[in-house]
Amino acid sequence: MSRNSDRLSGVDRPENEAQLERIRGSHPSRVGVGRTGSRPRTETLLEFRLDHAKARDAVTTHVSPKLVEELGLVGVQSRATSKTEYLADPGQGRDISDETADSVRQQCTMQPQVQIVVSDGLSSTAVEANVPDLLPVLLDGLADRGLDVGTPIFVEYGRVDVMDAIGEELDANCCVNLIGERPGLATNESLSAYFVYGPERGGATADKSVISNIHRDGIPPVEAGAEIAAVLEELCETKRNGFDTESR
Amino acid sequence: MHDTSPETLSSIGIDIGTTTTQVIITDLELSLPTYDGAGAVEVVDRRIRYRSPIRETPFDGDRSIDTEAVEAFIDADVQNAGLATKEIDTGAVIATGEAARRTNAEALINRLAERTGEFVVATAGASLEAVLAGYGSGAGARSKTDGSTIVTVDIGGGTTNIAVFEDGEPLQTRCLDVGGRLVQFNADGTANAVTEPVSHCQLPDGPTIEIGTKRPEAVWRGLARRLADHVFDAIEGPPFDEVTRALSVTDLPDTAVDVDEVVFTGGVGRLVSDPDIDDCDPLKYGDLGVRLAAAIRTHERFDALPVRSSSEDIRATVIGAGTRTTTFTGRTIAPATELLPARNLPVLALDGIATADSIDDIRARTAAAIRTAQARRDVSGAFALHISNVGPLTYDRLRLVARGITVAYECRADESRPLILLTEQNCAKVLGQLLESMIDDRSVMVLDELAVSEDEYVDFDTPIMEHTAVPVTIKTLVFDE
Repeated sequence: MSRNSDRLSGVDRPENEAQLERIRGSHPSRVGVGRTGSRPRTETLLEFRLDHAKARDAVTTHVSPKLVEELGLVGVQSRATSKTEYLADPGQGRDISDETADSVRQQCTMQPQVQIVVSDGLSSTAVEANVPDLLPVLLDGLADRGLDVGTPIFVEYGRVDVMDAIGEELDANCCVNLIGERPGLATNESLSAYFVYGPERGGATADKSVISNIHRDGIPPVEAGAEIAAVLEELCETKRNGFDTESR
Repeated sequence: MHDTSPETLSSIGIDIGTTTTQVIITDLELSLPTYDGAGAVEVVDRRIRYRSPIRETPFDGDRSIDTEAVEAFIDADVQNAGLATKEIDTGAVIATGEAARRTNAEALINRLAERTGEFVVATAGASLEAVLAGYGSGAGARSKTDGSTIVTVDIGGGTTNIAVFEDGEPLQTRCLDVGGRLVQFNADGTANAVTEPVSHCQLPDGPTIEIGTKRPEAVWRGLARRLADHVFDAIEGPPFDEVTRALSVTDLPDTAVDVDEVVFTGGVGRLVSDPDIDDCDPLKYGDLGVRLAAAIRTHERFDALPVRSSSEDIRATVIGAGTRTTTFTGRTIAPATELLPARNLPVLALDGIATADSIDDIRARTAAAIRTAQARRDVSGAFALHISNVGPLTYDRLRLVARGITVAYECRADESRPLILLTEQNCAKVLGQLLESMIDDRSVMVLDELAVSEDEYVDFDTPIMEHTAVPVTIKTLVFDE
């Protein structure tokens, strides 16, 4: 769980080294990194800046088109036409253009029980790191349950709600959006799975449920794939969203 | 109960000891589900709702515990706590010390477990007792927050149970047949009961200590002093002297530990913390307890130990039994409703999976584990296979493992029991999915984030928190060493 096992301890001659290691191992914060006078040590600073650069890269890089093809995903864009526009005007990431909608309807199975959407969100790195392990488990799990699965779609510059637009266009019973989470300094690889039953544009965020923290130090992607399949089966059976408390 | 308040469990602890029988009822508050399957369910708060009076354990003649009297105590306690028996979710009944050796002890605690709650476990064993007392005294938790090594010494009527905690985990136990009730006295100071362990501490040329003997105070103090010597020897060793080994009821550890703190608990342990114990009436409890506590307190080795007192001294074991026996699986699991709850599942290790690189290799290892299960006389019903490491968590790897296990079961027409798999890594859901799709006509259950070993047994309750986790009790079931 802890990144500190990979990091150098910056404390010279610790009074209780075993205890220091236990503290450092108990969480991923930068503790026990030492100091030089009142400032961080050069290694600490460089490591911090490296992690920050990785986090920025996760946001600004693109998911490789080759991976999209290998995973058998139909690649589309949200209304945003560039990363810059997407970041400057996040609303564009929630919908698709009319042309894209037409193309999606032509290329994908209509009226599936389950529509899988993969979005870069704020971390292309998360998609590249987790989806290759997660998606096959998810597809097998849905097939085992006899659920009718639509054509999986990858959305570049996509936000969570883009699954509402896609689900509405394809008339899907329910959607899952596997989306890169906002990266941090502890990990830039974290993925979330958002769920909605009866997707429609403008649907309330409160109607969506989520499994977050999918990455190698969180929920392993293979385990998440199996869990997501189970959640989707429940959505299809109950025909209700996860937090629809009134009907529980 | 689970449906109405999934985040709190009512837990009972029942300790039937050599001298006293105690009951506590605790509310265990669980961490809330967060849809973040990486975070395990944990007990975040333990509130003691009810502490019973400290009662004498009722014996029925020499050989057995008075079952009806114990049942009456417990019924009264549950009622006094404002609960109905069916509202007890979990907990443990433990027979400790000399009481565990009574002829009907095993039957009694099994019966109490069954009638007290659907997931109350029957358990025993000196090592477990030592660990429970260490947790119950608060020392286990403190060793984690302080990062220290703490030795807890629980001295009761029949036994002294020592546990060494390091960073919140029990590292070692040491258990001796030393307790207050080794000798019991009439009001006039005549010994009216002397137990066998006393013979180890009799001086070869000293006065005999037998039933009916009345000896000068110095003789009793001398006996208490020699017993105290062995308590210190057990705390400080290894090495251990021969008599300490003879008094020991479990294997003694080979490695010494550096101790930051020592805590005395239990009925006699509580008296050790009393600075005026030397002036106390030695016959106050009708046994050797006061003299033993005084001998420990005034021992020259006592002052050398970093002793700290505990607020839960006499109740340490029962609190440990009531609050520390329940843990939880991971939150993404593949439970099988038809197999739950399950009690006393023996654990069999499925070793070498991490490095097994072919379906046939995994098949052979699984087949070997099944053969072991069939050969073991104590494994009559279902058993659980434990994989400590499946290897890297990739789909290809897990498919290989699932396929190997499936083939092994397909080849064993003589093995009709369900497949119950326990893993340490968070991969139960995906392994469950794979095995379900591969195995025909057999119940499959995979549960994860469980650190167990081959000599242990596990109990599983029905899932809680909207089927996201299963309460677990891991135990070494050996009723008495």
